[in-house]
Amino acid sequence: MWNGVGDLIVAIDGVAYGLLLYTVAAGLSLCLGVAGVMQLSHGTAYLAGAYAAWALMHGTWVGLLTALAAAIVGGAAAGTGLALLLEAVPRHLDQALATIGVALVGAYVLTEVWGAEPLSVDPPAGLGGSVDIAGRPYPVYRMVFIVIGAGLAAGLWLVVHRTRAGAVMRAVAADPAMVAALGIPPRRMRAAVVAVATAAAAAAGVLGAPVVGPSPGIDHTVLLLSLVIVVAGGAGSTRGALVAAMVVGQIQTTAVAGWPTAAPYLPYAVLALALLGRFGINRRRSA
Amino acid sequence: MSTPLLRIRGLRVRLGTAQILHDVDLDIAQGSRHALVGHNGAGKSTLLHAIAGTVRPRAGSIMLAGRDITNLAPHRRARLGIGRTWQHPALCGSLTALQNVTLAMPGHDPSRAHRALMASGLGAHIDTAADQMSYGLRRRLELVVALAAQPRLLLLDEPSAGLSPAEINSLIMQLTSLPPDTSVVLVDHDLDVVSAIAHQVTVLHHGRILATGAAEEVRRAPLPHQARPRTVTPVFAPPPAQDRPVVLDVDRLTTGYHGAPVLAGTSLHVTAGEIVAIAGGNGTGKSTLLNAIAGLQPVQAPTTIRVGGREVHGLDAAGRARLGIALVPQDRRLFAQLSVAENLVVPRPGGSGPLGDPAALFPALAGRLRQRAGTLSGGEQQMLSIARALTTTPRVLLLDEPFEGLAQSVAEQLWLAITELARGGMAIVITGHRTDQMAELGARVLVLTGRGLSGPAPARGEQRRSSGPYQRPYR
Amino acid sequence: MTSSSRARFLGIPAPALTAAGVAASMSLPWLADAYTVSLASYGLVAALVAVSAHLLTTTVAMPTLGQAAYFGVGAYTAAVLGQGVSSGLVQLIAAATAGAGAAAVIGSALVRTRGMVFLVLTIAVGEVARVAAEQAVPLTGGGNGLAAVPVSLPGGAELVHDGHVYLYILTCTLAITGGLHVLLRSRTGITWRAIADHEARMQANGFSVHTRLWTAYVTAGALAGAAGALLIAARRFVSPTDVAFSTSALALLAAIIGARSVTATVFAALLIVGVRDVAGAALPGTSPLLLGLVFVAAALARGGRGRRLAARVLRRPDYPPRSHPEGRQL
Repeated sequence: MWNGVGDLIVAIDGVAYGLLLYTVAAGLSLCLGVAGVMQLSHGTAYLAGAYAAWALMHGTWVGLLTALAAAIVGGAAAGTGLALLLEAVPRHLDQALATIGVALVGAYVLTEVWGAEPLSVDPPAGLGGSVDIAGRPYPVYRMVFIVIGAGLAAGLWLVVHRTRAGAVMRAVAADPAMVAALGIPPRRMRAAVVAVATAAAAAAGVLGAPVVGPSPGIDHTVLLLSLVIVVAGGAGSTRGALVAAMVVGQIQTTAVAGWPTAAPYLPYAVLALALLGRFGINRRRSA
Repeated sequence: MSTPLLRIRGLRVRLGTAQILHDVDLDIAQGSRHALVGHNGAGKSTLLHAIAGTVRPRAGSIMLAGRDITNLAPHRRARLGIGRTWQHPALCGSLTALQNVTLAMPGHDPSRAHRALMASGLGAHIDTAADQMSYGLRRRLELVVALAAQPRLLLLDEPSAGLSPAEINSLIMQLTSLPPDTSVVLVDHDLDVVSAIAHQVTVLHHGRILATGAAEEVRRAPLPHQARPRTVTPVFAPPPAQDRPVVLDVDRLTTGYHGAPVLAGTSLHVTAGEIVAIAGGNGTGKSTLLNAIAGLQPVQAPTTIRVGGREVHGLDAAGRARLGIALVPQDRRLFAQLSVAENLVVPRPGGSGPLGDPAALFPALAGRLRQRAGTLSGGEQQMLSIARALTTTPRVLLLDEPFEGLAQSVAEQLWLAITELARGGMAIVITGHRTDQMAELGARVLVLTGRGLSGPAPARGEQRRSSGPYQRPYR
Repeated sequence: MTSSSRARFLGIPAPALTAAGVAASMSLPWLADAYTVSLASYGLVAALVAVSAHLLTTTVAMPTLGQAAYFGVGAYTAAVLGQGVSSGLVQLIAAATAGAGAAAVIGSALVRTRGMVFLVLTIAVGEVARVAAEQAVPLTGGGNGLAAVPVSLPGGAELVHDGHVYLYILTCTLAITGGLHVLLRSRTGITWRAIADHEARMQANGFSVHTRLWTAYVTAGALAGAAGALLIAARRFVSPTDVAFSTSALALLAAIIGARSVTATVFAALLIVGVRDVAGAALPGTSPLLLGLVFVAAALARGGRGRRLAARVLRRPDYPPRSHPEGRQL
């Protein structure tokens, strides 16, 4: 079955795709698990970031940095606004309705501005070519993206596990009322998490644009995959999200290469297996 | 000798990281009226849940009338004849009383449900939705629901909680008139209820059975005490109250759960540098009082709470913390997966306030900064919980049962630290069972009984009231 | 056991209102143009999907975003069957059965979850159904959709005229929602509500909660499947777009706006479809924008009201106590 180089390339692609998914899903996991808000407009931030890349990057390094800065600033601002909206609707079900509405409005605005056609984004100069992997060409940008993605994942891990902000986040996930009793305003904490998560998703949109380019509907796809990853990995767990994202990324790319008709279903199969596994463990633990 | 109705062997229950029940063996005879007693957190409710099937044990077996029910789902156990009530009345709120009872009747016969409601004096409320009823009525309705299927075994979790003395009397009447072959397992903090109903008593202590037997025998039995207090030099001389400003001023605090009043107009004034010890039996609302002051428990009018003269109404828990209220809650509520150092930096960057490094107050913590909080010993966890509260530089420190489960030497060490804080001008409120000792050491003791605080109390006197025969061993 | 006979709106008894509403809707084909009538037909179809979402979201308190899946199962079943059997009634029963069957399989796993996990899983179910509709080209026609022949009545008469189609769909919708109305007031319905109120109490009463929730899920699947058959009657066409997330989202919104009432859910769905399609036709391309604004406005209206109420009862509702002994809430 091992197909040598072809499989290796697919596996590398899987890593790149998994890291891309992780960058988006980690933020959503923090929203659901730490801030305790139902967020169904997360994919819109990715799509907006991807369009920002198309509009600003033009294959230049300056453009990439400009787009990245715009995405982070805009994402943080939009996230803060979203957090304000979510404060006005405290129940999860209403938050689901509100964010579905935000996603619909967002998709409409993006389509109005950039049209309904899928766009393709060129990576910055010097990263557009390909390198040889055992005699086969492989896009340089994807290799670079793996480095950036791994850097982002490591950075996020450091923030969550090695900083005070991360300690507060993990404490909130465990016992929000106790954190409030220690003087941390829950509202500000929730707003910060939503803002950072939205900025991260928009930044992922910029970086991922040359891989998964902007087109209507991508927001929904990204949201669904993120939800699958968050629930499979356990809401609030960045480590769980990383594992789930890498598994989904790997399985998706492998299936697209080898068994394309099954590819769209496989993330949900992963979700079902993850939940079955967790139920099984719980049952054994409590039995 | 016939087999008991319920036979429990080697029952072990774990919830999260905490072992709640350790190898519990218990027999409940047919027709027995059995009380489980023990302090908060002893595992009484968990044992009821394990019998009902709503908590799964890790090990052990539960047999009902010779049949193994250890792995049966709750509804199957119910069909085998286990009925139950909860700490808060468990009813279907949008349904009427009649519908609630009908759904519990075998065969779902409304006319039998109707008769049952009439017989229990709820006839006037047959068409009232359960969530429109008063708390006392809901308690009574829940009992009718639990008895509708004529269970062989009835599990009652604090049936008297939140009831008035008159309501408690009618509850006792109702329970004593149950059919003689109905077995009852009862958890209740009201010793009048326990002694009026129970023939058998089991004492639980930290998830283990300390004693079990006929009520009279258990009362007389020489039980293993926790080490009697050694003589402690009084190190704390309380300052004359009138010389110091009132830091915490609680006036007519009123609150409750699910419509059941817990505190109705409790007032409390604490001056700087004073230690106030709140005594009172389980279920009198000691924790509720502290949580309400800290903002974790919603309060109702006409409550006013002032800290240093500032009204805290309108402030959430975080706002109150910044105003200078710090809570060391019951069960410590540490962030178990975080390290000691991380627990200390959550409230404030750097993890230290103007008091200096809180870890310095507890040298035992200094060497364990990188250890996970959940793996500390009980005493160290308590120290960490206090140290964590101190990082917010409080003016008022609320300690909820801080000495619970600690060895005497550790408790003494904690007490020294607490007096040290009071000497620095902090106002301190402590709840707990060792108030007699605290009184000897200079704390002002107030007694919380049912509906309010009274005191200053003769420390000995309150002990007699709250320490019935069952409370002595596990104080 | 309920006070429905005494329910009033603006002082008018509910049965009189219902009768007036039925009479008014029956006369629509004589009062409105063909476009409005076909729009109303689709509105009724969407309303039936919303009613299926109502059964899960409100009655058993398990909000769902996946009813489009069973809607699609029903629609494709009716369309495929319609190539040989034109009887509307046969198609309706077959579609409801297919919807129920699919829900029976999927529901057996889903009813073991609650809250956010359940919601996300229903989204996943909807997405899998949409992808399947796109991929199973031989059966579904893929992205091109599947066309169907006009349905016929038991007498053999083909329904071609828009007004006739509308009356057929209206009759079916009334019959189905009427049946559900009765079911919700029966022992089964009361048991569902009781489980939503207090699951643990119902377990202690000896009810198998999973089985009852599964029954509710299967019933909701049947309702959505039946709606699928009515879509075929209305449009004679189904495509993966009909199975999209937005169908489920619209159903959830209508169910939430409709709150405790099936009738209000039907009207909410009609209103939302009306706003979307009428205003969307007036300002071409803006229907997603309008729909999005309706979602946000509905959430804000509910959130604001719920919040003020909570603030009045609790004074400071920031964090609930750590344990929720009663009820489920998402």
